[in-house]
Amino acid sequence: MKTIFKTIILASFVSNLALADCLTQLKNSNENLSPSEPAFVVEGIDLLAGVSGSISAIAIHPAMLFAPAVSTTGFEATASTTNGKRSFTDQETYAYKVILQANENNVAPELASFIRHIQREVGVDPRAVIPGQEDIIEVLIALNYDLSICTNKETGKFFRPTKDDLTQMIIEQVER
Amino acid sequence: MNKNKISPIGFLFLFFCSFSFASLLEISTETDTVISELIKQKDDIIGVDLYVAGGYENAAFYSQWGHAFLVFVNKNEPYYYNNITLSFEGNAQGIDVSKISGLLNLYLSGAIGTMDLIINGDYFYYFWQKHIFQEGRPFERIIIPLDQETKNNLINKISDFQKKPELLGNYSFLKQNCVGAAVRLLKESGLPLRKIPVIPLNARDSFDKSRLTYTPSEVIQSSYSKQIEMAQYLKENNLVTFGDFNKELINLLVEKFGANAVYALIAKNDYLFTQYAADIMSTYSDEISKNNMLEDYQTYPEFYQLCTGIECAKQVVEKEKQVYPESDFAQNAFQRHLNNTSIKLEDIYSKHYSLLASQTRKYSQIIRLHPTVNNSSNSKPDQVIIGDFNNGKIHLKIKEDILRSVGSKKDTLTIFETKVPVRQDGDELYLLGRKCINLATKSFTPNCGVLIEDGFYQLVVY
Repeated sequence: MKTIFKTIILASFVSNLALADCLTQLKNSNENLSPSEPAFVVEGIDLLAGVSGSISAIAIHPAMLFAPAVSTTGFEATASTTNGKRSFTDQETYAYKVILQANENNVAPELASFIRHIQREVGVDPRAVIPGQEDIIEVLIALNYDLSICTNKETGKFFRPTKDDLTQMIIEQVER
Repeated sequence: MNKNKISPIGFLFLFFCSFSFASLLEISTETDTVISELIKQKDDIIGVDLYVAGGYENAAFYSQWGHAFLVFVNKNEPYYYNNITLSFEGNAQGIDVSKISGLLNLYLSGAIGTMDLIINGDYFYYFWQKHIFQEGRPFERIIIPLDQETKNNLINKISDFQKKPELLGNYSFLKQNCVGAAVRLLKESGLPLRKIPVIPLNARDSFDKSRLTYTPSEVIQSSYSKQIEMAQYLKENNLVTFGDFNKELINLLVEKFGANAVYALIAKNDYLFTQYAADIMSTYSDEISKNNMLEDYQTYPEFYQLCTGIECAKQVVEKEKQVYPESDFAQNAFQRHLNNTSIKLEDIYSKHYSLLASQTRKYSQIIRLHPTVNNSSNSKPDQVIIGDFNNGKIHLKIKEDILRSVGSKKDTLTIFETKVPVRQDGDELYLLGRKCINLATKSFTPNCGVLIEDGFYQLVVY
């Protein structure tokens, strides 16, 4: 399986050099909708850093309670269809991260979680052979270079894959 | 026992949370799912690692003492980051933290212990993303092997908590906080701990004092810690809009704060990430791979054995020599040697410790010392006063208080004179070819000291 995918990667890379890969097409599909909008709001009081519905450490020093500190709060460009283009949804960004991070030597948490997700989905069928981490990464790399991960099968047009699209395509490939 | 969702109001105040939280949701798994998996994996669990995420710049004040959580090490899991991880936390749901009254309520609840204690379970990679990547905190790993009975008790208790969460009781800052709850659970499952730590950052000390740490601490720093400094720079220079970001600015930020910090910052914004992440990853691939989850965290099954014989202990010590940096191995070996003088073989953990100490001893150099002078002294405690050390002869004047032994402690100054090969390198003095004394602080290095063993003073250096 490894050799086949390495060949696909190489062949796809050579034949699609002009079209680049899905990552590049995805990047180009994003448009800076509002140059004047803040990308990051850098203000506020950082009393609550780390609170995520739960607290997980201890507090002893009351004097620090009201100590102000600079914090950064992200500002999200909302999805819009200006000029027929729109910014990424969370699902699309997640898929982009997974494709970008597809690397056997330095697995990032998004990729690790995606691999577990695929393995769990495949594992629903008790007779199925659960694909290994390397297999999934190789398929991801191959699908990025041969553009199939961002090309609509029926229309042949570019599209932005979501986590579900990615899942479906990977499972189709690993089950072959 | 579903994973807690952030309140919309808390969301506004969170440090870097709006996008990081979204990405964390993407990679998170339900606590129930994870605990059910853990119960199924019971036979394959060989030990737990207690992790302490260090304090960090601009942390909320209750996070400045660190955060602790448990990783359940599965012998069949090829990738450490897929191991199941449980974190014990206070449930702040329903508290409106956007108001001062809510905040006070939060802290009061934590102080008097009226908040529910909950388990937040996921895989190790989730906690790596949260603490190393998003918060830029270091991780300290404390490896704890489990005997069969303790392991079974531990997982059975967790199973009980899953069925009846109220059994967990309440969260309190000073007793049942993240580290208190995790370590108390280990103790109640059978781990012979003498003391429950109160402060997460002191967890290692508690395990050391109970002779339950067998391997050196592995501390891995985060290379993403300059995010806050960078955010302040962007604010000061009014570079906060999408229009301000371009390749030149990205390159400037990389130069000033490093590629990792820039990568972590843009990961909080979908647009910036898709525009610049690929370039940063390819241009600065060496730096980006510095915090490598795959390489940094590995399972060494040898370290989770509890030895009852010499062959096993030999295997563990050889693995330690192979895995740990020389200085870490030497420091741990000296500490083990020192502690072993007072160990009582009451349980399997003490026996394991003692066996490891006996097998580590062969890496030591020992010289018997003869005290030449004993007299009262007003010298400062914790000081080694070095006399003449020319011509390979050294006078060690050591206040007996700091003799690293369990012998009686007298307020006397003992002077030893012995002939040992001495070499000075800057502030460091090497005895027997190994680093032993810091001349600036006049103290022994952690791998060296004078012990009283079998009634004799001995200089022991690893």
